[in-house]
Amino acid sequence: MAEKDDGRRQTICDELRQAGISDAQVNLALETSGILLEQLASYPLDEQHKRTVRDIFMQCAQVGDRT
Amino acid sequence: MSLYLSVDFYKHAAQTHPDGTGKRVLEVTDALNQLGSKLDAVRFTDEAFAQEQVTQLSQPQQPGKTLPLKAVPLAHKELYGRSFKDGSGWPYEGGSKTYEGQTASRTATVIEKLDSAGAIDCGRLVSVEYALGVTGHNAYAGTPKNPWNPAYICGGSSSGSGAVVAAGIVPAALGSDTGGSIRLPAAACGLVGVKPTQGLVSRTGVFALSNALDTVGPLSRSVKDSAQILSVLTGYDASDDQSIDTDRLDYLSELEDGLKGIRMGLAESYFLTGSKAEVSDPVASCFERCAQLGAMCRDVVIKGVEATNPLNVLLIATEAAHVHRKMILERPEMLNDQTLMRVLTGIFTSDDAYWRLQACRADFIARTLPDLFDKVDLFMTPVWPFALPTIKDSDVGANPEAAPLMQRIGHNTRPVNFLGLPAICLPIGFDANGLPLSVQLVGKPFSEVLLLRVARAIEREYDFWSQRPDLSVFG
Repeated sequence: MAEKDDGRRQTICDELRQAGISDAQVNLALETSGILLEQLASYPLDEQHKRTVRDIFMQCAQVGDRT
Repeated sequence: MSLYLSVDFYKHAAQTHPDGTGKRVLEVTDALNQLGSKLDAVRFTDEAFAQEQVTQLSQPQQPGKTLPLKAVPLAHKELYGRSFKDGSGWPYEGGSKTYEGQTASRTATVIEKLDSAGAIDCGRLVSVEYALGVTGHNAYAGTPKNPWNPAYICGGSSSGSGAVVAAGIVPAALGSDTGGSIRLPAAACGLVGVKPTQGLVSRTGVFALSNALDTVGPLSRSVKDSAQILSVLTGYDASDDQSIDTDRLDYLSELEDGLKGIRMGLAESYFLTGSKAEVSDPVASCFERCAQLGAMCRDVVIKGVEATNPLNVLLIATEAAHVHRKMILERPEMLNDQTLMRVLTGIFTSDDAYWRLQACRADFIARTLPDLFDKVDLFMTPVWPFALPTIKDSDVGANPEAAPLMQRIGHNTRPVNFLGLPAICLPIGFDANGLPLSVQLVGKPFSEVLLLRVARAIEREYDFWSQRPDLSVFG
């Protein structure tokens, strides 16, 4: 899985460089992305929770308590 | 040229002096072209179209049809499309040279609603590129100057909306808010800014940044003006996959009901502690004042909230990179450095990570809401986490300091978007540099009536707009 992700990231980096985006910009974005994705990975997600955000807000709207 | 006129002024004038409507609207388009341009806040006006709308108002209306915003001249952030029967449309560039020359292929649903309410659409105002920025810098469309002091930013991304409303040119303008883009410029310019509950207001026909997080709302100088605009905007839209079918409410109904019995929380942990004393102390004082006015006040803690700002940043960047991928790869040299850096951050997110991000958001909302709003009806925070910076000091481009600064500016606003909650900000005074200071009120889903009521009670106490910016500096 990690190897697949590395390969995907490398492909994107190549595409960006080919588009004329500098190494410095690509590296900075990659580094920032890595930090944010680490924070995502560390979130204690309850895998049992299946409702979407819209489901939750639809339920809030149906409850009708707006005060 | 008359400035600082309210929604009620224009409505009343349309009844008492209907023949003067065209002249009043012409004064507004002139002011947008003159003062608005000096503020670097206006993309374009369309005087002919505005006058055509005035003419239509003078025609007999359908029996029983009411026009709650009759002859009220408005201008909006440039993300709002308008097209015409002949297939033409107003420029629709999202503040970006990458979309230079693009025109709208449809009229945004909220613009149609404002048209039906009798409002006059005078033109479009500067947005940060792709609505992806919190300082207001935009090398292509313009970097609006703050009417209170032109050396300072208006905030972003609804920067032009903040500038022209604070300069008194129009009573209100639409902005959009994905991580704070209504509230940050509203707070920077001393305005009321309303970020509605996710799903309450349609985004159809609005230049997209993040489908999960984009919201639409007004900036104005008074709570009542925002309430009047919001009353027109709401309603289910099947074309918007996040829209929620809910009862339409009268947002003016409880405005003058005061604070007695309202359960208010002060979000000291994270929000106040993560902000500088120069902004958090006035917020704490405002909270005490609310207690004196009859609110039942207590501290609130939102467990795990510190995770939401970076996750919101990631969600915006990921969806923005998806929407604008073609431009990133084909025209990267046309993008502002700051925009390029932020969209690139999201381009690396895998499909699995994206779905985990959406699941984490739903999980966090489901965990947080019941407990939080069991104890309070709403909570108060600062908006900006520090005193407003100058245009020069916050022009960070794409250097390594930029990302932390952007994340820091959204410290108090992004968690609210992540939670999908409604929020309203309003001014409560001035900082040491003479720039506005504001509070943010955050409520449970669809509690806009209550938020507006509390905001109105605070507005009455502080009477912020008894002072006005010195516009003579703009010549």
